[in-house]
Amino acid sequence: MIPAPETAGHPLIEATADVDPAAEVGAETRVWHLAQVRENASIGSGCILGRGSYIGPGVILGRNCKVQNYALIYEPAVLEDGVFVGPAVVFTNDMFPRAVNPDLSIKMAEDWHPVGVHVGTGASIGARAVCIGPVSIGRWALVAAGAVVTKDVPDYAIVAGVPARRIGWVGRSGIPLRRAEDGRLTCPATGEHFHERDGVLLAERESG
Amino acid sequence: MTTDAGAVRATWIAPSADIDPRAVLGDGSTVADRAQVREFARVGPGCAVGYAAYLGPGVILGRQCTVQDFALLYEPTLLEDRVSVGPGAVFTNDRFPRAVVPSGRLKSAADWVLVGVTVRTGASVGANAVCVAPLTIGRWAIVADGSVVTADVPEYALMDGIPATRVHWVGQSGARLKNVGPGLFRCPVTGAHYSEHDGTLRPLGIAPR
Ligand SMILES: CC(C)(COP(=O)(O)OP(=O)(O)OC[C@H]1O[C@@H](n2cnc3c(N)ncnc32)[C@H](O)[C@@H]1OP(=O)(O)O)[C@@H](O)C(=O)NCCC(=O)NCCS
Repeated sequence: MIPAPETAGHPLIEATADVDPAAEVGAETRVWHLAQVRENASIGSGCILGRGSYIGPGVILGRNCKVQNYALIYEPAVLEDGVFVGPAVVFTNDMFPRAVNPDLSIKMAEDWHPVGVHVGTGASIGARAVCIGPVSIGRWALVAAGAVVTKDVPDYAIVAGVPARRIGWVGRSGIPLRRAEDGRLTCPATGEHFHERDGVLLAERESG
Repeated sequence: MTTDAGAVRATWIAPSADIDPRAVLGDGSTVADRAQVREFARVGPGCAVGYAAYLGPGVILGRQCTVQDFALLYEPTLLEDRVSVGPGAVFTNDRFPRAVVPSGRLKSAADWVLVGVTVRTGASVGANAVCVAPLTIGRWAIVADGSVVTADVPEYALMDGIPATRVHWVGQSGARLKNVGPGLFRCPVTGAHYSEHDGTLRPLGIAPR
């Protein structure tokens, strides 16, 4: 669970940012130069939206998310709390894009159904990665720089490449987990233990 | 040899470029519209910074570097002289990024150690390539468009792919070298010879022919 920021305050929005009046921007959130937040987007408190970033209509961001420069988040993306989106990342919303219908008339909103990217709490998306909606990125997962994600990513997974494949596991601190001789995985930063079962990582309960 | 002495051209800054007053721009440098040059960045003489490009705080560019449109160079990037960075290239500064610390509080500058990309003299990084710090790109190396570099790049290497691997050797001219004998390479443009040993390439003291 992500605690609320200690202090409440207004969002800080640079003059060159373009925030639609029908968007909601939480307390203490910082919207940098040339960023655009479209209508009905909902941005939680304590977020940072980098220079030139784009948040599509109705996109939802939880608290304490960080969206880096020129990242493009198309609707209907949902980011839970504490998500990191690296520079120049793209979340797409149309699996089979076409400018026109088969009769060459221009495609309108009613001619297609946007599909979204869902990112779980604490997950990080590396620089210039592309996530092809519909897809779900698990909690605390780490998508490598330049990866193209085409299928769901499990919690705590590190995925890399085109198309992205799992290359390891990562803890909440962001550091890859180490495997002990007994097969258990441990986070070198927090000391938490995990075990892997059927391609899924489970955190072990604290016990003596 | 090129000299920077002599005719000094004026520095030119586009009207909507955002240059922090604490940044330093060398003589004859140009900064295009909507580019941002953050505090304490140092841009050497004769550099060109493209449209909407970003130079993070304290980023250093040597002389005659080109940073194309929308390239994002996070601190502590260091470019030596005559480095070319293609449009949309990204140099990261955090290998294991997180928005928050494990307890959920927003991560601040004090919570992580920045790591940087160093690009040595004459090297080129292609369009939309990503360099995942920490790493150094050797002199005169070329990173192909769209590659993702995750480790140090040797001098004169031509790198391609995700993750990037070495696919060829290139000379100072940028041309692919021809293999003309065991461990011996020759540049078809300049005629210069190079020898390969243990994965590294060195120019040989043989007159070009
Ligand atoms: C994925 C990542 C965390 C791996 O870092 P690492 O643990 O130091 O990994 P290593 O360099 O030891 O590489 C492990 C393997 O994964 C591969 N790999 C690493 N990064 C990769 C990437 N981005 N894409 C594809 N493959 C990658 C390596 O080639 C290596 O393969 P091998 O075992 O066959 O040799 C890191 O490369 C990354 O992309 N971090 C994100 C950086 C970022 O975008 N920050 C946000 C902006 S500041």
